[in-house]
Amino acid sequence: MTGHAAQRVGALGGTPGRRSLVGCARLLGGVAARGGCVNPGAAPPDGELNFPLDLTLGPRDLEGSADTLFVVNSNFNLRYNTATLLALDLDEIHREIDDCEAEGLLDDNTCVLAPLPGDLAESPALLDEVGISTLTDGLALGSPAANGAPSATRIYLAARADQNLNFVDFTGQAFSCDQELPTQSSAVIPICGERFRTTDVSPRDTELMGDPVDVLTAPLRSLGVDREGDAIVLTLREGSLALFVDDGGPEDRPRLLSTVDVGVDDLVTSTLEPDTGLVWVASADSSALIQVGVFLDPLDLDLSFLSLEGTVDLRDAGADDGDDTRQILFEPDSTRLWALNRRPEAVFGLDQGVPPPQFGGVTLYKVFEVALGPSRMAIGTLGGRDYLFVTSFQAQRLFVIDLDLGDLVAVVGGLSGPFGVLVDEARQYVYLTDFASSVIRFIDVAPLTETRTPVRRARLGPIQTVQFLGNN
Amino acid sequence: MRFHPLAPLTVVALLAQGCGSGQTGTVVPALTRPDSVAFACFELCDPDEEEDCVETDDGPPPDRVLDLGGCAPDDEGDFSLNPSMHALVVQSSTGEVGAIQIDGPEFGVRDTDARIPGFTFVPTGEAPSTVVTPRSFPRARCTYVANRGSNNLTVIPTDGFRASLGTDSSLTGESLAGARPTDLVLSPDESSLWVTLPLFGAVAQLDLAEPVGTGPEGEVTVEDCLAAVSPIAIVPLLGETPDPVDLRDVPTDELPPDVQVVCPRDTTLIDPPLVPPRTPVSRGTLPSPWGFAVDEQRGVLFVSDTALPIIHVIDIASETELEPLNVQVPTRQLALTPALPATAGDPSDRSERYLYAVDDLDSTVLVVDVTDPDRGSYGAVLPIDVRQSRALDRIPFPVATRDIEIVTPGYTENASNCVPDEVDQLEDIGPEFLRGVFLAAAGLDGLIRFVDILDLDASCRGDETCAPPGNPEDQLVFIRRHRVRIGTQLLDTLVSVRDGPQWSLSNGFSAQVDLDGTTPDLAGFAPDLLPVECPPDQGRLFPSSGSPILCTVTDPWGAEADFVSIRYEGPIPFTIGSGGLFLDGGQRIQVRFDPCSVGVLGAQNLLEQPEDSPLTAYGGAAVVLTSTASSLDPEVEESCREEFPTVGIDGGTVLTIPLLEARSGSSEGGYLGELVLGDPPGTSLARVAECFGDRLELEVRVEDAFRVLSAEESMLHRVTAGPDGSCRIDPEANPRLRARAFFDDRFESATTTFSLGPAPGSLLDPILSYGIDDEPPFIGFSLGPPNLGTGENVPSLAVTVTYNPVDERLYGVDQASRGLVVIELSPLRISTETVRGRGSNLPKIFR
Repeated sequence: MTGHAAQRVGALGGTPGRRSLVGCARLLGGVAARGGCVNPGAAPPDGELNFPLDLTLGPRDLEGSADTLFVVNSNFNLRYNTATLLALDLDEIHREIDDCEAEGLLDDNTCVLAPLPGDLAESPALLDEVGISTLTDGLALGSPAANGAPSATRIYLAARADQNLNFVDFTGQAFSCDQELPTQSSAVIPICGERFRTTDVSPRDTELMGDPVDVLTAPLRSLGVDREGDAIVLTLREGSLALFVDDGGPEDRPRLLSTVDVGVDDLVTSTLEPDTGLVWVASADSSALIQVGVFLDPLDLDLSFLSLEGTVDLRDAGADDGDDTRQILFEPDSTRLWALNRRPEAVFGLDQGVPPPQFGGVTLYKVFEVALGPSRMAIGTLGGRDYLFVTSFQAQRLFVIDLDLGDLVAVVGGLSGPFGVLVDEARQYVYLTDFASSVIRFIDVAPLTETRTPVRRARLGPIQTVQFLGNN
Repeated sequence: MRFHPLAPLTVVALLAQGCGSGQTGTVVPALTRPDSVAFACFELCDPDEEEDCVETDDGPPPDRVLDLGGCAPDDEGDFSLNPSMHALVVQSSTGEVGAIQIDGPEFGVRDTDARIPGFTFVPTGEAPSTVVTPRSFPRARCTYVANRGSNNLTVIPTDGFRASLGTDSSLTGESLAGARPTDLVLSPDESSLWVTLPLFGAVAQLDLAEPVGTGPEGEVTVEDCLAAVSPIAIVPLLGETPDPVDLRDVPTDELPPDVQVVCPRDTTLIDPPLVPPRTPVSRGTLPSPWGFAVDEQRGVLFVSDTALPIIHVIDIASETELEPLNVQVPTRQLALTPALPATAGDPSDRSERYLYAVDDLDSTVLVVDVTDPDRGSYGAVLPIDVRQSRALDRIPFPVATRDIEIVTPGYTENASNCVPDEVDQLEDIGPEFLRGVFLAAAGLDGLIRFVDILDLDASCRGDETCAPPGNPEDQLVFIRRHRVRIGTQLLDTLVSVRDGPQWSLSNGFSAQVDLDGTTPDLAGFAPDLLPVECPPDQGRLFPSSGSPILCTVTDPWGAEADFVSIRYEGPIPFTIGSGGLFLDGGQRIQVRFDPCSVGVLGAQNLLEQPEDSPLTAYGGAAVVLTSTASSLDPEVEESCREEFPTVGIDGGTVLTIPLLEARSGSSEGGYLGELVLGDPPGTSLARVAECFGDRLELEVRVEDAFRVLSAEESMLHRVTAGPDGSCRIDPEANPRLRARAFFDDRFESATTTFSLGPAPGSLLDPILSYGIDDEPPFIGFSLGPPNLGTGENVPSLAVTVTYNPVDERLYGVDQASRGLVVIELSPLRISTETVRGRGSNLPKIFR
């Protein structure tokens, strides 16, 4: 816990009272309708998972292994006055899981990490924690700095309450975002400062309007600009995308360059197609998979923009009716993409490398049925085979599809409300945000390499019961 | 071919009736991710009829499984209530098999353990995929399940599906660890069970002895079922790939016969061309067997392969692999016809056999001749489609196919063709009455479509020219082997023109084209349409008599409802509104679309054309800037807007720049294409880049030519990327894939033909448009809810279709909404409860 404590000391100071007001004003503008700021609410306790939503691995070493897991704690029920971003030490977590195994505690009913409220705060697994915008919905890592030092990692957040792109730097063991403790006497988690919750003014005076629900990043070099930094695309629920560039400007923060209206609302997530500069957008209100082009001007980045390039409609492949897509993923080293849909509850596989049977049509490769409430998916390579992991929230299951075999090979049950999913290929684990019970699940997927079934090996945090949620 | 609103009127009406009964609300949601289906027939213990049928301390009275034939309908076609047919349905999400009683007073989902809340089914291994139950007693007393998740098999005493206090099952097949077993099939005599093992590149065989019941009342226990199973024998597959059969090299008398019944008889049908086989596609070097089809006559198994472009053939008796069939693509589901007559005449002369397979690359369906290994066409993928814009070697379903099944209602050993004089009710004969052999294909859209293979009623269908006296509701008849079954045809023409033809101008004026091809109301603004001779594979579209000026495909299986737009200097689809980034001071534009794949050609792309190219007079496309001049520098922006005052503003003018060359790919940044520009009129490229480089929006238009666009086919073209990425006309592509028409030129494409006269005196972007209507409707059956009057559209997702040869019903699984749907085939409708005396009319839908 040394790193965590040191970080907290370093965050004290400044003029917290003023910052608190700024934060509240932002909340009023953002989610007043949800009642989130009528009462500023209680400060969240240290190390509590409260509706974790999304997660991602920290910087990876040359062998592809990461030692940090970042988790967005959404504060979905507005119980507290801020959401939080957690940095978890994966080495420590897996040490504890190994200890469980040595003690014969082989599943997540028995191997419970930080089982009681407050345990995580005292656990060395928690590297650091900062307060971020309530209802933050997605996060993405910036590219490593030129020297490859992991201390340069920047985490971008789709901050719904702030209605903006937020970001936090992570310096190996701790967050850095000008964080300070709020004035509330009970507050123990510092909240990121103003500079990290706003972005530079657009050179075109473009305004960011809407509800950010997802964020993705791409190194500038991958998009034809020979410069360090990242392009960031923020997805706004109401039907638009926003392009930011973060290339170390005077304020060292992203600047908004362009927005584009995609003509469809209820956007959910966006995914960058490898090697094309095309962002594919999923909408809960359309069967169309929307393609938006990222145009970065290598001579003058301020001239960069987004452009609506087209759509691929699941109905053209025959989907009935395909009107609710939650996520799109591209299979590595393949021409195939996968679209997770709720109408019907299935994953549609489209192959861009096979000529469509009908000119101008869509090549449907396969469809995998899942179950009620398909939410998110992730692709991972384990033992040389590609697997697709799909969470079904209401069905309370994780579906495992062997993409090389072309079929379902496992169903992981015993989950409360799986949502975000992430594959740690190096450790051969899947990490889940179990949104409904506010825990993180650690699923051992190494058995898949021996064609055996994944095991729910451990969970992090006490399960929040429905009754508990209902009282809040 | 599309689903016609009139065609399956009967079907739709019945669906409405079923839904309107208000009974669908009683459907119990019990199934979770249902998949494979098997059948079992149970003698139900009835205390009213059997004295010893009483409940004991050990539980309710037992029900016993019988030979499946015990559940055959009676002579009047009424389904048996006791014994009662049951469907056994895999629940792949929960690892169970659920039983559903199909007929009888207690029809519905069976709960096998009343002590547990909710529905309890029989447990299997993990992620079960396929269930089989032998048809014959006593082997029917054991049921087998393949578990791809846990890499083993489950054996279940079949009687256990009727238990109410829990059922035991047991896992076996430890040697299958790592194999991911997927499909199961029984040998014709049901003495052996075969399993596909994709990760082993092999199949497995188990001998099945007749189980001997050792239970208290002689019932078969799970131990008895285990004892009846032999150790597993692995049969490796070789994966050798022979050359595909090229039908062009096959003597005519060895080609499969074309079976067709068409009324009127003078209907022009197009014979699909014998195309060369595709270049075989492999996903790897090792076999990955997936699904089975059993040829009882030859005693062989066909095994699809999702990695290699072959279908394996295994001799069941010797357990050895014979030479596989090269079908050029990996395949998934298989369906094999029974022996069929070679003509529509004598159904007892049965020699032909065909294997249908789902292409694992794109979910299309292909047909393979498997009649006789000594026939030249054995193993060939047959040409089916006649639309040259489509894959000619596929059945032209409009959507991806999820599962296929052969259905054979009424096709018994002694089946005979319909005799018109002996028909009592002509209304009982028609497209929605299936008697014979058909392929049922479940589409991704939840529709089950049928393919004609043998219609035993064909001889009683059609008007007086074909089969007197004729059914007035069934006058036009189009039946052809391997073609989609066409529904009730009420109209007297196959295709007709709709909404035109008419010319429209950019000033808003429009006028109909006269029957002679002129448009007097737009004289001087629209070119004449000249009389044309329709090509052999097309027929007259307009006018209905006299010299044709518009032709289109009129073959019943090639005709397609469409809307054609022929626009002078029209934009090329998929380029409209695209973004672009200037390079080299405006000389080039990088774009995020692939110009070759969408059909863009610049002037330099046309320098080397095939001799047969109709584009010799074409000068190439133009890049049209549609965005408004802007700049981050206010002074520059002001000067740009002075120079280009109306470009892009409120839909005003556009800036047109000649396109020198289009290329696929770009050097960096992941751009999919590049456009090399010529000099713009009245300015320089550098100035254009300065004024439009900020958020450039563009489209590519054909120059001094008409862009021919079809709503169904988009813009047919044969542009491809050359070795250097530069776009060019593919010399190997069909020259009828044309996208551009010219003044004073005949235009003939794969779908339409017309001839334009000279250019008019004034050109106001004329657009010629017309619709094509009245394509023949196909017979389809929706697995999903009918959505009639409910206002709520509930999606459907077809998973499997399984035919039960005993009750001659089709069982469809719709995962999204309905679960198991029981479908009667003659006439085509959802099965209804037949409990006499109760007045019940419940649709057979189970969730």
